[in-house]
This record gives sequence, structure tokens and C-alpha cells, in this order.
Amino acid sequence: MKKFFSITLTFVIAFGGLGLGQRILMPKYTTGIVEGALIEEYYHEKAPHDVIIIGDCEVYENISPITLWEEYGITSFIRGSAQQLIWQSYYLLEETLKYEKPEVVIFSVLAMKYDQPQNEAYNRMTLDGMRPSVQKFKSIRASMLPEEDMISYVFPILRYHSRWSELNSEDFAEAFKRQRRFHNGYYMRADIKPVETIPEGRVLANYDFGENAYKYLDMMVELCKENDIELLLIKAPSLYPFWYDQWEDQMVEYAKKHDIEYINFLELIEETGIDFSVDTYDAGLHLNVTGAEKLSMYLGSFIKDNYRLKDWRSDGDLAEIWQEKCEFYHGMKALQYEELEKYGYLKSIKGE
Amino acid sequence: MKKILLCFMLIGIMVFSFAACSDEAVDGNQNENGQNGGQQDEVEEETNYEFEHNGALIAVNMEASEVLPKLGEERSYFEAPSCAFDGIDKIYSYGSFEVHTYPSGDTDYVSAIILKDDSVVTSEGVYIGDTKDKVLGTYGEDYQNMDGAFVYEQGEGKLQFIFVDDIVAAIEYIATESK
Repeated sequence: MKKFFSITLTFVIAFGGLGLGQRILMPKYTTGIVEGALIEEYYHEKAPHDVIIIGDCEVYENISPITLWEEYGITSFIRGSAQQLIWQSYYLLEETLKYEKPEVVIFSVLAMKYDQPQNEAYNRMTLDGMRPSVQKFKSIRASMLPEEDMISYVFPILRYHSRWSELNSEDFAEAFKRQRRFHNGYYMRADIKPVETIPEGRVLANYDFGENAYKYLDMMVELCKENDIELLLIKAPSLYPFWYDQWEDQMVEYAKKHDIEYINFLELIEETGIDFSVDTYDAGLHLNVTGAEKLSMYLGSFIKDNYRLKDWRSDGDLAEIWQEKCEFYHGMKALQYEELEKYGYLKSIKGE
Repeated sequence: MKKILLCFMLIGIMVFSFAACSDEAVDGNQNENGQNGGQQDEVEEETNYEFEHNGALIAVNMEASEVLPKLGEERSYFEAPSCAFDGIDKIYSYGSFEVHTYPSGDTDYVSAIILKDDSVVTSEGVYIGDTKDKVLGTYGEDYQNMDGAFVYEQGEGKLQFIFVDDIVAAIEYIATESK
């Protein structure tokens, strides 16, 4: 009995120690590259959402769920991450359906340009934040580059053990409780850098989206149909990376063939009211908060008109949850404007 | 008691072994553009393809500060931050060609040279509008066919010809390795 107790205790201490070490050593993305913390925030949500938005920076920097709530009473969450590849979007959606069943799923089609795994560092920012699940395992398998190992995703301590010499106080402070940084998956930026010039698209050898990309888009369509979810495809109004006419044609044709709505917001700049002299913080790649709010106004109206979602603002419990989110949102917005006024740049984003 | 001490020692060794080898993994926060700069030792010394303009030779992975002053003032300039990583990719347009740079540490390096029209020519004499046969005659058969584009790899980069109806439609020098 004593021996059994000793062995059990040893294992508990060993695995507990490794688990603790792993939590401390994993990057927290607290400043600078904060996007690495996006995926994990979803798991702290207290109430379900009618709209789930998946995709890359063209969703998490361009759409404000708070505006969708404040203006239309739409509950939404952006499960976005940097350079989110389509198979990662698919598995994130599949995983999300374990927690809730939205009425509408919105997918950003820029990801169609990537047919194969691209970059380990981007992979990490999507995959490390996911909770252990079959979907995470499948997403890792689909995302890994030849030089990567599954084991280092399952046990990230194997990947990050060398960070021990770079640890700072935030690594310890946020090992167990992460500070909230986003607004239902929206990454806020209030600064302005107007569009001056946009490079032409480079000539491509092949403009066809790849088979793998189409395979996962087909799977996404099927998954939504099986779950009686409306799928809305969008191209965000980001001016760069270049969106080719040939790509547009393929998306229009795909949407028509599968009876899905597709909106290219690049063609609706006037209708959305986006002004690229004031509504972008990086010269046209991403919208700033005023741009995101304008886009969300249009998107919210479209969703309301086409999918007849319930306006939840009169629901006491939800209203209370969202009131707190709105306060956090407007507080951060006010803080960012104060910083811009005082320093001329976003001090908090730089972690100063 | 001895067994417990032994177990603790083993755990200690295990934890220490994880912590001690600091050169292998890279912090995701610091891996700019996800590019791995740790493979330079394996690079064989082979000359990169060069593009010449007004007597200035440009090749991928040259320091931008070395190249740009020789090219005069650009017609337009564009900064393209990545989705998430620190640092900015820059595009300098000179009308008939573009120079793209990427950051590594505090230095910008040339990531690509894109020829835009037939007023500029490769150092070996091929320009946009030439035939596929001329490319083959000039650069040979030792190419990779990537979706119909001919890709010639050399040194730390590649020279890529894209065709439309067997006519050169684009010429690009692209870095395949980074600093």
C-alpha cells in the first residue's frame, strides 16, 4: 500500500511539475504579437452565439462583434487567428459545434489562396491555443510542415523548453489565468495610417485555388448543411494582399453552385462607408476600429435581413453579459484614443 | 524512502534535461515571419542570380541599404506588415521593376525583384515578351516546372519565368532562404 502510494505520489508530482512547467514556458503573446492569444479566449465564453466567424486577420481585425450586438442584438464570436488556413478554420468550426450551434457561420475566403501548410510560427498561433480534442489533433496533422512533429504540439513543452532563460513576470502571472485582450475575438486598433498606394497583383502561374483548399471548403459546406447552419462567405475589404479577378470568379461560381451567399466587400466600399484615409491602421491591409464598426453595421444589417436572427438585447441574462463586454470595448477604445492623443502611437499595444 | 528519493532525482534530471538544451527550440514570439535563420551554415557558397539596372547589381538577400541608394528615388513605396509578426515587408516600385525587402533583426534584405515590363532585362538577356524557347536557350533545361512556370534555383534564390501562351509574362527573382 505504501509502495502504491509512493509511486502514485511520484507520478502526480512528475506530471504536475511538467504540466506546470509547460504552462509557464508556453508563449503568452501578451504584448507585440498578441494575436497568438486569440484562439484561447473563446473557451471563456459564458453564453452561446448566433453567429460564428472564422478566418484569418481579415475577420478578427475587420469585424466588431460589439457593434453587431449594440446595433442589432446579434450575438457573435470571431474564432480567428493569424494566417488561419482553411483546414484550421474547418476544424475550429467542427470544435465550436461541440460547444454550441450557431445559426450562421461566416468564413473569410482569402484563406483559399493557401493549399498547403505554410509556416510553423503561424500554425502555433492557431493550434497551441486550442484545447485538446480530436479536432485539434486533426488540425495539427493537416497543418504540420515536414520538419514538424506531432508530439511537440501535443506536449508543447518539447517546443518551448528553451524559453526558460527568457521568462518574465507575465509568463508566471498568466500561466493559469489569461488576461482578456480581445472583444469576442476582435482585435481592436484605433490608430490611423491612410492608404497611399497599393501594389498591383503579381502575375501568377496558376490562378486556380488548390484541390486541398476546395476539399475543406466542401467539408465546411457539408458540415453547415448537416447542422442546419447558414454559411456566408465573405471577402473582407482589405486592399492587400491582392484579390485577383480570377479568384473572385471562382468564389462567385462556387457560391452559386452550392447556393451559398457570398459577399465581396471590396465591391461595397461606398455602401459600407469605409474611407481608407481614416478607417485603416496599416494603409489598407486591415481596418481600424472605425472601419470595423462601419463594416459591422453593413454586415449586421445583411445578417438581420437575410437570416432573421433574434434581437437578444431584451434578454436580461444576455444583456448583462454583453453590457460588461461593451464596457470593456468602449473602455479600451477610449484608452487607445487617449494614448494616440498623448503619445501619438498605441503605447499599450507595444507593451510599454 | 530511498525509492522516493530516487524518483525525485529522476524527475529532477528529466526537468533539467528539458530546460538545459536552450539552442534547439525557438520562441514563437521571436520567430519573425516564421523564417528559420539557423540554417545558414548549410548554405553552399553559390552565386545568386543578379539583376542589373543602371550599372547597379541587385540580388536577393543583399542588404537593402546597400542596394536602394543606387536605384535612385522610387516611384512608389508600400509597407506590408504581416498578419501578426513584428517587422514590415517593404515594396519599392521603380515603374519597370519592384524591389521587395524583408526585415531580419534591424536590417532589411532583398526578398524579391519583380520585373514588370519589357523595358528591363535579366542579366542574361531575357525580358517580358520573349518566347519560352529563348528562356530555354538562355537558361537551359535544368528547371523545375511549377504550374507551368520555369523555376531556376541558384544560391539563396530562384529565378522564375511565368508564361502566358508560351510568352514570358513575368520574371521574378525570389529569395528561397533568409538571413
